[in-house]
Amino acid sequence: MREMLDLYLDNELLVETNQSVLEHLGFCRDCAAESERRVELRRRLKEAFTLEDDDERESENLGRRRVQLALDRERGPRISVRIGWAALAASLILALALGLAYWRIGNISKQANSSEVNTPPPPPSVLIAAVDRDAVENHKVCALSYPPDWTFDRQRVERELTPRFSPLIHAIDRNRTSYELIEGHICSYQQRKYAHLIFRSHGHTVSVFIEHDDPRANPKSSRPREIAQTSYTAYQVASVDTAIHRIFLVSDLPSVENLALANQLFPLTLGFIQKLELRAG
Amino acid sequence: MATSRKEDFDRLAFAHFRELRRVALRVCEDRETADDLVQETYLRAWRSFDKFEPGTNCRAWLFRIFFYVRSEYRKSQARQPLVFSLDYVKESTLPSQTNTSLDLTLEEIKRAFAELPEPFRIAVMLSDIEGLKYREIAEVLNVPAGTVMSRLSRGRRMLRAKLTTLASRNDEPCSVETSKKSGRI
Repeated sequence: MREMLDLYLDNELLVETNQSVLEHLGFCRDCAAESERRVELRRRLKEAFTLEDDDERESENLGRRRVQLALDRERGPRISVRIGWAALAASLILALALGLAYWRIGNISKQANSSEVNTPPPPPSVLIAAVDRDAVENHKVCALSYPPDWTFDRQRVERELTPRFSPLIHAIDRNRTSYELIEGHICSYQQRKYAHLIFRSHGHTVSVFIEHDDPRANPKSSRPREIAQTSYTAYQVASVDTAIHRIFLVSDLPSVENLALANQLFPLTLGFIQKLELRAG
Repeated sequence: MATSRKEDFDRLAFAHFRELRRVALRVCEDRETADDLVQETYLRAWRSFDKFEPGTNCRAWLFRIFFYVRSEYRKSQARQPLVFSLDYVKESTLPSQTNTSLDLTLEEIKRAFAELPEPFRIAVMLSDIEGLKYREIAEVLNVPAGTVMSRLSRGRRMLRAKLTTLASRNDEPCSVETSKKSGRI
């Protein structure tokens, strides 16, 4: 009977056998007591491994976020093999048709000449749109993945922001806004590396990104040293440049509110970044 | 269509993140490895989500992928395959009865459980902590159902033996300070 007790408790016996165990437990006190002890042992065992402390919960949240980011990366640019082949075939057909058309109207030589000319760089507005878009996408995959009950852990955030950016937390502390800082870290998106601060208030999540900006690669001269704002999908992006940094604020707030918040948060960040740049010479 | 697949995946598979990570933390050497393997499990689950049959146990499916990923990881680490004699403990020495009032702390129960040899520990964990059926455990571990039953039976007996030993040690007279430290009073 003792051998069958575990199978009975696991609900793995046939109905008839189950019934006979049940009947036996009805009159055998020893087995009934043993059954209760085993149930209790399982309950305690389960309790031992399912109780969580704060550290465990935080570690789990970080693990969950990490997997979510990996899944987002996996889902993002991946194109199925079938679609890839179809796109390649369509491109080839299109190229063939165009080539034929040029040949027919006798413009092949003209086309050959023009193909020798280097492709001009995209206009500054296109580059600006691309950096704003990356900031929004990073906001979506990173900032919006934090659960609503995420709490700020100063020590960890200071560690994650590295000594270079961690003093920013004190600057924000000294100048509180209605938005609460919930997270800060260094993160990457599409080969861009950002210091990322995440704020929350009234159900809105706001990201402030600070990116080291290569003046040779980006169209700095075309952007004034004042806050510019663009929108991308449902998000507003306010941005401003310093000598070698670009600062973004991304949110789903209405345009006016996003700009107002940028006017509150950017001066703190700008002051800190400019000091950083001065120290770096 | 893609959004719907993503939503289904989050609802069916990502919902089991906690259980999967809990199992990973119990069977991996360290937290970092556990998190790496959980991430790889989810990436593979996403890639083959089309093969998952709705209505079947998604958690067991994830566990199965996890144990497969883990076995690959162990091979890649060029570790010796797990060699353990299932006969190393004589059946007769294992108690068929729970000779303890379970006056033990959760920490002591955890420690006793952690000392079980791996095949038994995993079987007991999947059954008693995660609540999988024998058939599901057999699929997850890719072993016959009879092996699962045998591992469960021995694993539980070993655990009972360890707990009995611990409980009898606790019954020995000790100072108030020691008891306080252990969290029993």
